[in-house]
Amino acid sequence: MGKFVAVHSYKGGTGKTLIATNLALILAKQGRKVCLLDLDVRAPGLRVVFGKVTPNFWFNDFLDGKCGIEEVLFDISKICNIAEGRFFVGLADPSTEAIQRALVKDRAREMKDLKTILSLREKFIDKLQFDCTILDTSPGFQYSSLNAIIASDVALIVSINDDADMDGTRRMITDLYEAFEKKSLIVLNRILCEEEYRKEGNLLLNKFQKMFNVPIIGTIPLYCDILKTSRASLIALETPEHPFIKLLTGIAGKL
Amino acid sequence: MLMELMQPADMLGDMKKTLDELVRKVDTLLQRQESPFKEPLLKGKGPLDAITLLSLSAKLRKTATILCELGEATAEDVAARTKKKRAVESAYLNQLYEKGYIEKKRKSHTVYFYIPES
Repeated sequence: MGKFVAVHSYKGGTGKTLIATNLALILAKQGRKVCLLDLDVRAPGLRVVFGKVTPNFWFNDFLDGKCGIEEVLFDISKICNIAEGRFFVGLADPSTEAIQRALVKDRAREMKDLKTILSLREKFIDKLQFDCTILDTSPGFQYSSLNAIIASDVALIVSINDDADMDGTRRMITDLYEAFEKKSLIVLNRILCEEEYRKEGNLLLNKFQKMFNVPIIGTIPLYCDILKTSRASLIALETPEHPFIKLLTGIAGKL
Repeated sequence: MLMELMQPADMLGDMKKTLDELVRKVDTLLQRQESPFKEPLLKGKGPLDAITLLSLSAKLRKTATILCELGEATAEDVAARTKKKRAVESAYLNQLYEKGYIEKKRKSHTVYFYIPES
């Protein structure tokens, strides 16, 4: 059955978009029909990653009722040389005007957006038959993130080795994900530099698991070469043998 | 009225009223314990957006979320999703109605609950 996965975090800059994008690519390369949606309407990040895509409609237009969701989705399987499965993206409008409109939405409009996003489930799972829909979200407690989480089956939380982020993540687990009865799973990103990570290995998981009452399904070290690459890199396509992709493949299997 | 003098239909009616009242009281107690927010964020009616959903008790939140997805539904429709009894969901939906978050209408003999356009 199709699954909605919201990739979320408490703070920004944890690596959500990089992880969401490459997870979607990995799943598509494994033969699944996958959709990656940019729900971070206040700071859209996927437009830069998928620069070759020239959408006629943005996800914002779908929320505004100007088009159907099919008109937002772009099949980029060929662009990404994915033969095994199918890969679709739906992008949010990165223009300043669109972001400003997103910022001034009133609560009645946020309620309408929630209903619209919830309506995607039936369409995506029953009609378009996506095996997995990955939602790239805004960090923290923002309406667009809350709406994505409510619509999802799983909240994949990307946390980093930072006291503030981990503290906030723990509060989100009880006050948000559990409140909506969502299965939540954690990926700890940039947990240590590569060398220390190789030495400490599995000890890390035991140490950090004690801090959270939901499963940590993966730990990823800081890869300096990835840090140096631009956000527009699709690592799962360009360097599929990279250890980052191998770790992410293991994580994808646990979703 | 003595039990032995009551007709079965009246007895069932009384029992339903008692059960409804019990569900309301249990829910009030649970809401005091379960809401992640100590004080209600919103006083009075407001749109049923994500923040309002968070401020509801767990049971009402689940029912309300399902109604957000379905748009318009009967208690039976919601019960099919939550796997609870129709009467339980009917009580929750009526509570949401009494709190002013949703509306209801009758189509022939069936009551439909829905979220009003703001």
